[in-house]
Amino acid sequence: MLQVRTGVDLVAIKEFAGAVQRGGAAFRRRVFHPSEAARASIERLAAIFAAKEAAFKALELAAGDWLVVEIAHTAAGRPVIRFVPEHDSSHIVNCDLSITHAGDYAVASVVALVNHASDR
Amino acid sequence: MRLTVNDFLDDIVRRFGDRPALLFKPGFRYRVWSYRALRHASAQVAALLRARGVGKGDRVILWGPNAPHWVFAFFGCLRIGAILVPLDMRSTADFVRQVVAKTAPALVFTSRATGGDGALDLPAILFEDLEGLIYDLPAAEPAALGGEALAEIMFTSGTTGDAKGVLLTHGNLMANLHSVQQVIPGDPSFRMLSLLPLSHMFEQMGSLFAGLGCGASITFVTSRQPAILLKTMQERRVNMMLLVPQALDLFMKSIEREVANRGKQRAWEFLMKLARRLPVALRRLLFRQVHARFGGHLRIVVSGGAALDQALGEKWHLLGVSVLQGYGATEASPVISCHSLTEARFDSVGRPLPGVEVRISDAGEIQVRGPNITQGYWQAPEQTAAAFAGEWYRTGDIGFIDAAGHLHIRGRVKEMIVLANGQNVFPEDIEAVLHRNPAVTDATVVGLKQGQDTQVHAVFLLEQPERAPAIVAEANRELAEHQQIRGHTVWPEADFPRTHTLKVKKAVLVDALSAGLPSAAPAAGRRAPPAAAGDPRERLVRLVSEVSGVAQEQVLPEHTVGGDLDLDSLKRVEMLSIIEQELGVYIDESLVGSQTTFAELQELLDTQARAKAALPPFYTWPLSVWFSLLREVIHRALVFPVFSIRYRARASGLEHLPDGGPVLFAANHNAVRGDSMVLAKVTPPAWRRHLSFAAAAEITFGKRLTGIFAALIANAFPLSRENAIRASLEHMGRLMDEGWSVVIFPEGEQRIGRPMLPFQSGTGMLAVESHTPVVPVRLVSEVRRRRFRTRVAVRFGAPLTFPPNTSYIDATRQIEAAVRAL
Repeated sequence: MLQVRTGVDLVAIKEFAGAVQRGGAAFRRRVFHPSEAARASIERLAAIFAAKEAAFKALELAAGDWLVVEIAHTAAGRPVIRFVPEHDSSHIVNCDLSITHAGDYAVASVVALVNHASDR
Repeated sequence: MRLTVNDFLDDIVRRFGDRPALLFKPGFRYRVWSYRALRHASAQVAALLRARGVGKGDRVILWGPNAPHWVFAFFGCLRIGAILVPLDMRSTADFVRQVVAKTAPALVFTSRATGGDGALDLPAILFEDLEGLIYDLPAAEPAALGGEALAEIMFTSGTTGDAKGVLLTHGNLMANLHSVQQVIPGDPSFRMLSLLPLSHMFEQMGSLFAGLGCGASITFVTSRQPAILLKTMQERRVNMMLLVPQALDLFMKSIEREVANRGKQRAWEFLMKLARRLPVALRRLLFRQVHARFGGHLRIVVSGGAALDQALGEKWHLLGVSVLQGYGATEASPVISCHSLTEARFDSVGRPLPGVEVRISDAGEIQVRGPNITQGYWQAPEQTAAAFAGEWYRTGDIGFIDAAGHLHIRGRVKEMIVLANGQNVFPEDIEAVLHRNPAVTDATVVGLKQGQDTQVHAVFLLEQPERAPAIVAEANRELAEHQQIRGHTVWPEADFPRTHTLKVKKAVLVDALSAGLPSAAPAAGRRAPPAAAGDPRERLVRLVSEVSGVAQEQVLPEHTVGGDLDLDSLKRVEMLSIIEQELGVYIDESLVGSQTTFAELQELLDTQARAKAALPPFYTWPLSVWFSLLREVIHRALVFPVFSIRYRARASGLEHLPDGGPVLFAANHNAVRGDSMVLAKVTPPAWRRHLSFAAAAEITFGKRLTGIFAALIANAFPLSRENAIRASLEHMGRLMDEGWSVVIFPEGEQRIGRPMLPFQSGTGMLAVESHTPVVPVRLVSEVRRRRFRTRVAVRFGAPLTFPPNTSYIDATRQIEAAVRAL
């Protein structure tokens, strides 16, 4: 049975920037693929963080599995969620991501269509 | 004579071309830039700057930690004639804004570590992105410049007042380098560690220019965590570095404290006496345990930035470390005088450098002139006029030159205490006496106004504050009448407020004391001084308290991470990152949920620390020349003949192997059981002799004997998947740094005859982070009926390289596709 799942997350950019600075390289290594962090402003990093949190909620991934997903972009600039090859994502029929940041906050929303039969 | 910094760069490339210049270990492997690669990267940065519209005379702010990227940005700017404005990493936002307003910069180079991106309303380039941005850019030609061209504006931040920008030309820098090289020529055997900020002239001239000028290698660190510093000093066999006296003092005090804790003061004093009669080699042997704390190779320390206590310098000398004291000022680019290795003394700051003229004014002020001296301050003609007496720069320091031509510093004019009776007191003289007392963590002396009078007042950092009166009484017995300490305070913080070169900000101290700071601080509630860092559990309480905002005494064992401590996912990852950075222990975030209690977190910390101590064995003996030869003999005489009975292997695509290693071989694991030895057999001997295999730690190295056997036959090392992954990667990095190529089987498990499994994403991580070409290898078995012998085709593909910041997922997919396509 197909099911629609959603996840949303809001990140306060100032608070996030403080955590990135205090957590240093260890924080960046834990949370971001270098490809995500490259040429990304702090606002954008906050949005990627929010996108990962939203993905955890929608796809019921374990919190803290930051590097299981990678937030990338299509050629047209649309954000997409990709999984590392060893992660079994066969139950995810489709999933869509939208992110935005304005002022003090970054927001991300994930909508996924998952196959209930293989859903965990 | 080199006129400009660009000439200097060309000159060192000509002399030291392919020797290692800069080293940095951002991940598990050292990145090494040769002199040639350094110039190329700098020329690429120059191209990037030109593409961004930056040109000759434009100001560019450089605001980040010491790293190769700092150096590329530095030389890149100078190449196009842009003017650098280096800022200390820890500069306050207010100070940086002041500098921006004064210099109207076109661009800022900064780093995430400074929190600099987005902090300034300026086009910014992050250090972290720099390599990716210049990856495919051509090298830019240098601008036509002369020695008079402005190279840098060095802003010095006083404790109060406006920031002052010292103008330094290419000619100033080159003149000072030329002088320094005549006193400390150096040679390519120097392996330096760059710890002091490059935004300060002492480190910039002493490490960067003088180091590169003699062909040395300079290593940068990603963290100042003591464990990382020690490891770096061991790995890189660091033999020279620049330090401020406070660091030398802290190190010596920690040694003496340990001696006292072990109750071995008498033995220590005896050895120190004995050392006076021994040559340096024997002294180093005598104190080899002490040297081990600094990696075992440290021989030369150049001390600057503040006055070195004579007794402290002598103690280091007795240990077998030459401490060279110098004296300088940013305005002098910066070195004015320095001791040479053959004439080290601790009672003076050395002879004035060749080419630098020093005179003492009638008022006793040290004044300097020479080609290294600044032409003045940025857009501040009044300050410039006040700083010069004709063409002599007024240092503001009081001193004299002795009969042997050595310069001595009495103190700063500004810090000199003038008593009501007109007598002058130099705080440095009193501080030297106080520093000799082992009970004093640190001490500084200021003049405190008491009505019309000014009193000599000591401010202490003490582990036992109640000892302050006794320390003062003891010091006063040694001091002259006018130097007597009339009042004292124990500073209530862990450290004094300091400038970026660790000088105490005395004006801040005086303000605080005048505002009524209690004269003796309560012992309770004080943060432990940095030298006594406490045990990991105490530090964990402190870290959790800092991240959660909950007071240390209110962090209780039963408190939950998500509930009582209110740590959401962002705060949790921040806390674990800080634990990793400060305590050196990696805790997997999946083990810490919102219901995890503080007690469980402590238990995790202990467990991980124990796991770290019980790592699988990383043998070094298989890497020795003798074992490599023995392995080759065993291969040819035993292993290959036996394997030939079972397998007939044929290689193709060997022409794809690059001219030299190391490379990462990525091979499928589903063809034949003995794939490692089949691969070794068909690999050309020159490669085979430098080949190492990553083997599953849990399986191959699960039993001691199989592990030793695998290490002997295949030069295998354990690749852990669980908590020891970092150690495995570090070992692999060391192998590659020493020129060993590594074979990995990215499927993760061996399933003979089954379809190839998807490659693990760690493959892409290894490829991208090791900055090593990946050679795809496909093994295909051809089982023929009723034949015992299996034919195995081993196909080597063209090496793949990945630009910096390539997605690990993309890299993994590309490697997997390349193996499948063979």
